[in-house]
Amino acid sequence: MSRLKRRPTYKYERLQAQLYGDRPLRALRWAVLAAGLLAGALLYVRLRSGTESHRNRVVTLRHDLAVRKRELENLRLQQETLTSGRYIRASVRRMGLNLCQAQEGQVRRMVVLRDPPRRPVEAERFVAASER
Amino acid sequence: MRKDGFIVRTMLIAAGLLVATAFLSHHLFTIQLERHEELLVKARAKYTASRRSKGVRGTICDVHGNLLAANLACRDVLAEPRQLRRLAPVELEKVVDALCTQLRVPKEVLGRRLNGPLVEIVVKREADLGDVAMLQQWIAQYNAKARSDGKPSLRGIRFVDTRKRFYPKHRLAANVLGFTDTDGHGAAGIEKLMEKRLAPTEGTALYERDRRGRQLSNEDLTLEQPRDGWHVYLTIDEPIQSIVEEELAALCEQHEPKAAYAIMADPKTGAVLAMAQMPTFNPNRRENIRPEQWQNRILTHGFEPGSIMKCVSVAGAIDYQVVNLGTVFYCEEGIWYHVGRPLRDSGHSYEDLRVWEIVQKSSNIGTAKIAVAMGRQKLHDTLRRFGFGEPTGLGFPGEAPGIFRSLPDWDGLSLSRFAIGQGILVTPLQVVQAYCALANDGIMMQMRIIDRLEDPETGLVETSLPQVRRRAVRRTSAKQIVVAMKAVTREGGTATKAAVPGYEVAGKTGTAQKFVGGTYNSGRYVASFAGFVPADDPAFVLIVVADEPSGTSYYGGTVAAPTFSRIAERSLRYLQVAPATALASGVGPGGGSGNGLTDPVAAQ
Repeated sequence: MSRLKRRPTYKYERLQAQLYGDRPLRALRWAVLAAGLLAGALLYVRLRSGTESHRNRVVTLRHDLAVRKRELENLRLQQETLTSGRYIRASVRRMGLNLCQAQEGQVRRMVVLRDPPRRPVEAERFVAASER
Repeated sequence: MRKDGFIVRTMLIAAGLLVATAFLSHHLFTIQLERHEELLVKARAKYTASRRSKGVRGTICDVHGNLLAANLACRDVLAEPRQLRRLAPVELEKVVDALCTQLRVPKEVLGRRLNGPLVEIVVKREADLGDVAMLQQWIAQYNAKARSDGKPSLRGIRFVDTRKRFYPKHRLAANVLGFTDTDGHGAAGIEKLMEKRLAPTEGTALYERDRRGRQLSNEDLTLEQPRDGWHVYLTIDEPIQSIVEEELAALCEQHEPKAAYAIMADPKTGAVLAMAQMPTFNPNRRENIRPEQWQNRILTHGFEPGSIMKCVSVAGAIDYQVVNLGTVFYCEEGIWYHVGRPLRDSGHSYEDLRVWEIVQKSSNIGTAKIAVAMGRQKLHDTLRRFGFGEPTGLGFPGEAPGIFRSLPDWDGLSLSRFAIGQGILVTPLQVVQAYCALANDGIMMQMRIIDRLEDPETGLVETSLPQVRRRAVRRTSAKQIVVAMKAVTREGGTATKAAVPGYEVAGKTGTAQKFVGGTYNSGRYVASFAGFVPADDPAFVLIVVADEPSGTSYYGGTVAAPTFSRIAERSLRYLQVAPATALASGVGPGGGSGNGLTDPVAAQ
């Protein structure tokens, strides 16, 4: 009976052996996990810093763009001044270039967007009605 | 026993934790659910800020889209005196010097502002972008040097993006365009007339900020979008406006009048092509302008038209079939007493003149006799139909109706004097309107200066269509008076200097004495010429008025007519109106010699 109840010792030893055999593996796991976490954190920091720097760059570029846009608007206004007929004629006079205006028929201007001046339809109807 | 103590301690701790958890849960429930809305508002107020932004004021362009008024980007420079006062006195002096030099601000003005009680002061409003860039560069250099020297850096100077109204063509059409006040609202001219359309709207945007107030995210939460003002396109044609102003300036240089005006309009559509006055002003530099410079006196200044009114009176007489071009009137050899008062043909003593000759030679006596034959009611109705005594409806606030008495207020002299343009006050625009009716076969079009409006966001365009106002005279009557008016610019007429080589000009001179201090002053005149060209199919109607020309020459035919001719010639070339070849070869209206003595009635 006592023989039967006795636990075999080899099982316990084997269990011990298994226990000690697993320890390096678990440590490695922890190390990998820690390294992974560290790498993840570093990657996160890196990405976040990249995002931040991009964001800052976007803000700077936006600001620059706004400034350039405003400068461009001002340059367009300046161009309007410099290309006006009056400015050109005054400059020609001031610089004594002795240029003269084009004579009749020398320049043919094409009016694309505007119909030639004519009496509107309403006026035509009015004329017709008043002369009947 | 030990075991019981452990259990009790454990239970106590658990109970404590439970109570704490319950308390925290309750607190969480309270702040997250019960007071959610209230606390959310408080939190938002802490980490969000709102920014109000304004759209851009609409531009004003001529009919072809040439820019006449726009917005110049600039920056306001603001400073916090408290921050600046932290600097050492020597450093503060340097900063003030730099601000004054770069932004061209008087030092005493800036000093006064810096010593004032305000938390933030304006160093310069609407500073040029270039000047501000230079200043920013200087501040960056100053701060770099301060850091290296261990001194406090310069803080408390702020730049705010803004815009100011700018007129790229400077003086061109300044009186028409008007200007804006310091708040950017229209104060005069088109700027005021179209304020509702030109003005932009404000918008609001929310953004998250950090403890220092810096914006956290890139995207704003826009509550209300700012809207830009509409673009306004005028009927004004920039090159023509330029021509008119140049020639008017030349007139002023030669004759030195107190003021001069010119208006050009398309009689078929009522569109104003040019509107100029002298003296004028530069709307970009308004520091020293006087009211007489910026007021649009073309719309507000009434003058006695004098002889340019004769065409209208005679057209009425023809229309009522009281006379025709061939009807003869005896012109009393220069002086005629009517209602006990003398009426003279200045410097001339005409005998029998036909109606077209009365117009050609501008006989006061002849015209007065036509008016007498016509009667008070008919003359009154004629002048009313031509729009005298009421504003033209161009739309400008404060447009004067002129002074034209109602019929019951007419006295014995009114009939003979009103017909020759004495005793009534008209604006130059009213005269143009009346001449447009004569040029347009008797149909008076509604005068207009706004061609179209454009919404910059949707591209929607609102067009102002030409509208008929009324018929002033019948077509045949208008045609007849045009025949007489053509004779004015030919040999024998009063305005041969208004003739344009290659084209037939129909018009009428005016030389009116000014009514000053209850009497007509013989030394002060208004010289004018109104007409249209080509006479039979007019491209435009033009009036030139010189108010009190100095020197010996004060007649409409010698002061205003040459300017009319030069403006017309250049404008016709610009508009590419073909010259009448028959006339260019010197053939008169009747196919005769062109000496002006040809009878136009026979020619008709």
